[in-house]
Parts: sequence; structure tokens; C-alpha cells
Amino acid sequence: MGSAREVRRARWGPIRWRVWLIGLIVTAGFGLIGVRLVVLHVIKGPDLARRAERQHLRNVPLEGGRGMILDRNGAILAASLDLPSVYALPPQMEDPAATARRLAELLGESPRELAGRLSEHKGFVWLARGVDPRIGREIQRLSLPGVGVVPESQRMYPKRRLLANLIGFAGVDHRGLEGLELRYDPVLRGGKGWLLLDRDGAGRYLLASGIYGTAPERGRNLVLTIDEVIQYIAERELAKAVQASGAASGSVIALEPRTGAIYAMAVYPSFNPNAVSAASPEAWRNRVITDLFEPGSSLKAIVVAAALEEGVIHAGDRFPCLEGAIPVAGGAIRDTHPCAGEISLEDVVRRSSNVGVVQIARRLGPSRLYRYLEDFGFGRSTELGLQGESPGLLRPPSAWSPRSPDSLAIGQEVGVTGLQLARAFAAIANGGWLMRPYVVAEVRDESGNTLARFGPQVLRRVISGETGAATARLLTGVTDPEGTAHRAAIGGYTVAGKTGTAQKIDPRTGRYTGGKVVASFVGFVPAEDPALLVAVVIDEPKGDAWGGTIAAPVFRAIAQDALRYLRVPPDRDTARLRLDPESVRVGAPVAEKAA
Amino acid sequence: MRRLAWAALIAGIAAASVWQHLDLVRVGYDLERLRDERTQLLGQHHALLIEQASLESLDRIETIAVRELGLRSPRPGQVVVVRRESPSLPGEIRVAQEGDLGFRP
Repeated sequence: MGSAREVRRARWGPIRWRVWLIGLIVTAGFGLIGVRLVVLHVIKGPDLARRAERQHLRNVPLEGGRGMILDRNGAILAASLDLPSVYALPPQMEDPAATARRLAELLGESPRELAGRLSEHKGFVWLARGVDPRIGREIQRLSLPGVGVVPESQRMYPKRRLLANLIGFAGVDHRGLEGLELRYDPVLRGGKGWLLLDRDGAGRYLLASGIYGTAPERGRNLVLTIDEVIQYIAERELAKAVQASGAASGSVIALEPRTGAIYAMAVYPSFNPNAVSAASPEAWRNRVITDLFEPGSSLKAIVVAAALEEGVIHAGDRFPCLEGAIPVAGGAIRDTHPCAGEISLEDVVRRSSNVGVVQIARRLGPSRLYRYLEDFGFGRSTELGLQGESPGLLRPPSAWSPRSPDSLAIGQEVGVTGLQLARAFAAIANGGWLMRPYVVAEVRDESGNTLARFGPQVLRRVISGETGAATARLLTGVTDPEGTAHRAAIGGYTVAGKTGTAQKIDPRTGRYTGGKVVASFVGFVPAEDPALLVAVVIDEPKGDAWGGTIAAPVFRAIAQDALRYLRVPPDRDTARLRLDPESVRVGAPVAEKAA
Repeated sequence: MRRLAWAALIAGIAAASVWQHLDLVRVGYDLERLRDERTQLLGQHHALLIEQASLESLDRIETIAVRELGLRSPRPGQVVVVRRESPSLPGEIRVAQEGDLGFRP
């Protein structure tokens, strides 16, 4: 027995040792593989998974549509439209030249140029973005290998030039670049989405038309206080006036004086936001809030209101004419209209007497004059909230020269914007309340639910209601037949307003130029219960360049149509406004029918 | 016989399961197709709204009214407004602040 065991041990001993060795090697091998698996899956797992994902997935960013901009009646002023964009995956193309030939005509490109782009060593190439939907459908129908179509949002301005300077525009990256588009970009901009493209082991993209990693989200809508109709009327009449007078530019603002809601903000020259690059950046400017000018005689209304409020002048007061010239530091300020003896307060305003208003300002005194100008909002932003708004220029009394108070009384040495001037007149019109002008009424979501609503905001009371009414009465004289702005008068309505004609300062010499002026008119109607305030500013008109001859007719043309549109009934001379039977034919008279 | 019955039952369950799965896939495809169709129709609606807005441009309407239809603005006396439509805002409106929008300039 013992010998048999020894024989077996002698035979199998070396083999068993080898089996153990092999077992050990195999175990060690599997052990190493196990360790490697733990390293790859547990320790480096997340990182490697990310790297793998990067290798086989590609994210193409897509923008959600920007929200719409609507007028106060819901008319679309700006909107985003999903248009097809065409892309190519060159590695998947069998015959780039043939594909280019089929696409070239549809995309309006040369086949050679297109073939060149398709032959580039790139995994993904945009061929055309924002093409006509019919072209997009046609390309989809062709089912060309390696060519895909995805919808992408494009900004459209269906009213073209209308309100362009206020709305501004958005760039190709869907970000607002000017105007409301820029100011309310965080509200209008939609959420980003991603188109996921899968790549196979050979690095070829697999088409994923319409499959989103994350669907883009549409932005919120802005509802403005702007009225498309009043805006159109304002732009039409402004363009006519600027062209007819050969002026350099012009602007109009129309607002509701009790609330500060802006109905219209017109600028000429303007631009088409659908073709921004075709216009010079100069035309993009919203001159109503950016351009400063000396208001000239328009400011006399503010001086008179301040003096009435302080009780230093009263209705019926008379002032010496001083033969049409009042001495001031360094010379004299003269009247342009003849005056002899005395002039009444009513005529100081009606005929825009420089001599009279300088005497009124002297009764007020420099400190009170400055305080009222500041209270009426000059020298600081209106807080409309748009980029580029100028705060205006109103120097403190410490920086004044001896002549400054007299110059300020006639609207010199002060720089204002059209919006500032309109707001100050609105305070006179509404009984003394300085309002914060506003242009955005609501923010709505895509379904039309209101998310935020904006309303009138009173900043402060600058004069009493009685002073406001008294000033408004004086300003109605300006549009009388003898007033400087008789061309602003509208049949059936009492119009209160003030003209302004200010010489421009030559920036090179720092002196007033002889020929260049800014002609303006600010008026509100009906004077006692105003529904509309319009400020017209025409820059550098040629010829008979006065506020009363250039700007006042623009006011009348705008206000006349806007009052009819707003259904504001006449407040005077209604007897003369009976239906004109010659011009109105609602139905034929019975006698005519019988005949 | 009993074995046959069991086999038939199992085959039936398997067939029902496959049918259910296939039906789920089919409904999924239908749903996706309808979703695509909805998106496409919404896009068309949006495009039509923009086209309508463009066609309603007042310069276009005025040009057609004056040049093609021979219309003109009414003269004073041809329109009598008897009631003013005040644009004043309803009392319940809360004045929103810019912070309400979730951003500040």
C-alpha cells in the first residue's frame, strides 16, 4: 500500500504543483482584472462615463423664442418665429457634390461654394439658418443623407419702422441690443434648449430631427402703453414735417397727462429693425430721450407756473415793455414781437414776450427759479428706465453767471429732452402732479396670463391744482388767433401749449449759431380736462423756422386725428360742429327716395 | 391534456404581453406624431399671426385706402364724438415694481 502511494505521489507530485501554479496565475489574473474593473467602474467610473458621453453625444444649443412686444390693444410689434435651419453632417454624406447640387438652388447658393463647405473636415455644419418654411419642408422631403432641418427662432418686426427707435432690436444670438429689446432682455429672452445628436463608433452622427435634450422655453410678452394708431399718426406727421422743412431730424412724444402713460414716441429719421445693418447707428437713437436741446420759450410756461404758485404774479398783472429790450448782464434780451407801453401777463404768454418773462423770473428770484426747474424734473432722468436716457443739463446756482437766471427764464443755459419737457407740461395739465412716465403696462406669459402690471406713479406734487388750471388758461391764449401757435388750434377744442424756438450752440465755438434752431411745441387738449399731450421737436428746420410755424402744425395734425381716435368730444364751439348734411350721407332722405 | 392547457395559457399570456408592448409602442409613436403635429400647427398659427400683423400695418392700409379705394379722412363736422372713453385704469390694479419681474436693471 505504502509503495503504491509513493508511486502515485512520484507520478502526480510535479503535476499537482503545476496545477497549483496555474490556478494561482489564473486567480491572480482574474484578481488583476477585478481590481482594474473596480478602478474603471467605481473609482474612475463617473469621469470615464462623462468622457464617453462627450465622444458619442453632441449638444447643439437652440434658443427659445423671445417673447412678443405688443401695443396696448394687443397689436404685435415684435415677435419671434420658428423658422427652419438647415444643417449638414459631412461624415455621413456619400456624395457631397451631388448633395450640394440639389441644395444649392433651394438655398440660393452656388453649388461649388456649398460643396466646399460640405467637404470640410467637420462633424457638423450649419448650411442656412432661418430659411423660408417652404424651403425647409422641401429639403426635409428630399431626405438627403447627412442633411437635417431643425426649427430655430428668428426675431421679426411685422410693423417694420413703426416704433423702431423705442423697441430697438435683438441680435442673431437672440439677445436684445437696443431699446426695449435690450432693457427687458431678461424678461423677453426664452430659456435655452439643446438638440442632442448621437455619434456612432466610427464617429458618424446619427440624425435626430426634432429630438430635444431640453426643449427651448419661450420668453414672456411685454404689453406697452403705446397705441399703434397714435404712433402711426405721429410718425406720419413727423416725417412729413421734417421732409417739408428740410430739417435734420425730429421727434414727437404723445402721452396721457394724468397717468404718464406714453401713447407714442416717434423719431425721424428712423430705421427698419428687420434690416438693422442697412441703417446707420445714428438712426437707431431714440432722440426723445437721448437728445438734449435748449427748450427756448417753451420753458416760459414753467417759469410762469412757478411764479403763480409763489404768488409773485397774478392774473391781470401788467409789465412794462421797456421798448422791447431788457438789460441783462453783458447786454440785453429783446422781444421779437413789437411791444409798446405795458404788456399783460396773458400777452406775455400769448406773444411769448422775453422782456415780460425775464421780469417774472426776477420776481421769483434765482433760488426759487432753480428749485422749481428741479421740481419739474429738469436736470435728472425721468426714470423711464431705458438705456441711453440723458438726465438733461441744469447747472446748480453755484455754477451760474450773473446772466444765468435771465437766460434760464427764456429757456437758455438749460438742456432738456423731449420727454422731460412733455412730463413737465403734463404736471401743469394734470393739476400739478409730476408723474413717472411709463411705457410698459404689463408682462404676460405665453398663455396670456398677466405676471406683472405697471401703473401710474406720482413722483411729487410741484404746483397746486389752482396754479395748474391758471397756467393752462394762460397757455390757451398761445393758440388764439393772435398767439404764437395759432396753427396749433383745433376746431372745437381748447388747446393749451407753448412754442419754443431756440438757437443752437455751435460745439466748435461755444456760441449760438445764426441759422440753426430747434423748433418745438408742447400742447395738451382739451385744456381743462386734458386727454392728450403732444410734444413736437424739429431739429434744424430750414426757412421760416419757428416753433409756431414748424412744430405747431405737426401738433395739430397729430392731436386732431388722435382725439378723434380716442373719442374725445369737443369742449367748445360745439354749435359749429353740428353734422354737416352736405358731407354726411348716412341714408338718402325720404323725398330723394320717393323721387 | 392538462399540460396542453398550461402551455396554451402561457402562450396566451406571452402573446398578450407582446401585443400590449407593441400597442404601447404604437401609441407612443402616435403620441409623438401628434405632438409634432401640434408643434407644427402652433408654429403655423404663430406665423399667421405675424403675417396678419404685417398685413394690418397702418401704412399699408392707408395706402390701399387712399390710392386704391379713394377714401379720405373725415373733415371737421363729419364726425361728432358724444362720449369720451377714458383710458383710466381700473382701481384694483396693483402697481408692480421692477423686482416683480425677477430681475433688476
